[in-house]
Amino acid sequence: MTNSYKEITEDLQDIIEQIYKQEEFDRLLAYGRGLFSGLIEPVIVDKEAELDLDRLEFTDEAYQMLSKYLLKNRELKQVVVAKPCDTRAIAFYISENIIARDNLIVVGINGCPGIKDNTACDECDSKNPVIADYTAGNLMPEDEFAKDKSDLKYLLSEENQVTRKNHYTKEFMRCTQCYACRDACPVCYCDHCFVESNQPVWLEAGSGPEEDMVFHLMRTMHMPGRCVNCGACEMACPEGIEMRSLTSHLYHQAREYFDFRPGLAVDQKSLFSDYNEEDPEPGFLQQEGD
Amino acid sequence: MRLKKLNSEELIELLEIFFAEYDLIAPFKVEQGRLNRVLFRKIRQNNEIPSIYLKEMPETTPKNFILPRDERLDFERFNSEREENENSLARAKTRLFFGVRSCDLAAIELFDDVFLDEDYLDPFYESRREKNIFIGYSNQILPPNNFQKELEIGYFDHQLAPAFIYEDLEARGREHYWLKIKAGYQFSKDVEAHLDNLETGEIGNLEKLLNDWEDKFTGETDFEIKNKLPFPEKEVFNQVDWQEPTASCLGCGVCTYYCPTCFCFDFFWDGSTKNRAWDSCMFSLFTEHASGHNPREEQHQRWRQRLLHKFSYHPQNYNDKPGCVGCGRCIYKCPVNLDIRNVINAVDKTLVKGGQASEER
Repeated sequence: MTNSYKEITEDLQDIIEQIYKQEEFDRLLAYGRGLFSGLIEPVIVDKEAELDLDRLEFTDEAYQMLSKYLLKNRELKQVVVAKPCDTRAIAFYISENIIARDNLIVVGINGCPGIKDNTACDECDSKNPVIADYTAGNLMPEDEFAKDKSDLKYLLSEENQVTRKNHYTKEFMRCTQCYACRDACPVCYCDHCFVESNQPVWLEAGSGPEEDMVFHLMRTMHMPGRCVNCGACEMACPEGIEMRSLTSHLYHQAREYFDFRPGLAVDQKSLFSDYNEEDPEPGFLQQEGD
Repeated sequence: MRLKKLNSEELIELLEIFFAEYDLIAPFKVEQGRLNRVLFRKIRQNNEIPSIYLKEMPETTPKNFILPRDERLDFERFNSEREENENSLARAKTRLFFGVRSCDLAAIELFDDVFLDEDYLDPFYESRREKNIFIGYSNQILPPNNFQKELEIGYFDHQLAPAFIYEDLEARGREHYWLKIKAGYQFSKDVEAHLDNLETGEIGNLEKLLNDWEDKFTGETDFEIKNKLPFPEKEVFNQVDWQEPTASCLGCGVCTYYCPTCFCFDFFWDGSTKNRAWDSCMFSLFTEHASGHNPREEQHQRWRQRLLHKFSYHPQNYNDKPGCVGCGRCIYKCPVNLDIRNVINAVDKTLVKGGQASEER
């Protein structure tokens, strides 16, 4: 069974109090309630700074991916409160040598009860942390969370190309090119994103269906083997664009064909650097009648 | 001043008359992905009028119509059209924005200060700003995270709106809507004829109602700004710890794109025509030089610019008026719920500590 938000919050407060007493670290990343807004926001504080432990909280609104903030200060020793999807992103960072394991103290959330309005939680296949130094809540038996992905109609894989193109053109028309999806995504961490490149210019300034499509499809193409299916992109989108159907599609395909899910272990090989002669060759490489 | 009382049907009738006369733009509730949003839209057909949704504050503002996200700056065409017909816009209908909150009206006033400045007149803005009527709206619900009162922007009136509509969500029948029309303002004949048929309301009753609402709003948050605006640039620039309150910023442009007062834009060429599109000081490219040097390398420096523009530079240039109207959109649209009030608070506290706080505010 999943844990209640209250249990997790209480556990987290105890654990963090303990960490303050026992551990050497530079910075804490946790969730807390906003002073004026009352909304759940990331609490990012240095060890020396004052912190009211009672402010820390975990609720169904803690949708932000704290793993993303680890990248800003890789050289510091950081304590991070991590949902299971966050721990997968962290394991992925470690497997890619982006961040050192020794620089992290991971407070994982066991039996994650999920995030409100996040459709990724409905198809979540990792409700316990992949790596953790401390854990809040009780571990959830693996067989309790379904691996069934039978009802993923939104993926549009059955639809023909024209329907799909029309759907995404309409959906991406709303894109304001704020790039919040990219900024919120824990595994979008290129030092220099192609949208910010001006030599060559991949993306013309201004809005237009072509520009919107170029951005979203190019981001999608960078995602297979990286996307941990956390849903942060859609949660961040101010226009409610359902771009996760693209990345999620690739996530499920990699799982189906190669039994590959990113961020399951710190020594995992990446999807594209690991090859096996037995691997299926789906898609355009497959000839008719194969 | 005239005051009319209306029920829902009478309001719809009135809007139908507006629709016949003007290009009517009003807020609608729409479902987009996981979001239920309220957006301003141009009305195309009469039967859309009953779906106008006023109760919650719209996510968009008239900014999207007056200073659009993308704009072609075709000076040649623009000038020749102006010459051909001295009043080229006379052909177009007047636009009527219905249901605009007082803070959003204050934002348009702010744009006027910037773009209609005699020395730096923006003809493209000017042409869009001509022939607009705003009808204000208010009800007894304070929009989430709104802090316009702290910036001395009233909830229930604004000089840009010749008429204001108040909705008493608890009342039924003719007490439901109150339409206030400013002294001396006349709508067209058809509208006036319709207005004549409506029941007249007692000003005293409305004032009592609005006082009740205002009392309800006070004490909703602990937020206050102790220092007088503009914030003293030098002290604030150097003394405030900008990193701590802005540490969670992702660097997306959401706060600025949904802000009713942000007006920075980027020029770019499309073939041989010049264009401009909204830009955001939250982006790393915003100040990047051709050499590759960026004077605002870190996100907290970009935040410092955003806050100082709104609370130091803008009030310095425009009679102490802040470059923020306190609508609260940047707070609830932010993908990580970063609250600008926390940052203002950090500045305010630093100034109080440093003895910069003025005696009064």
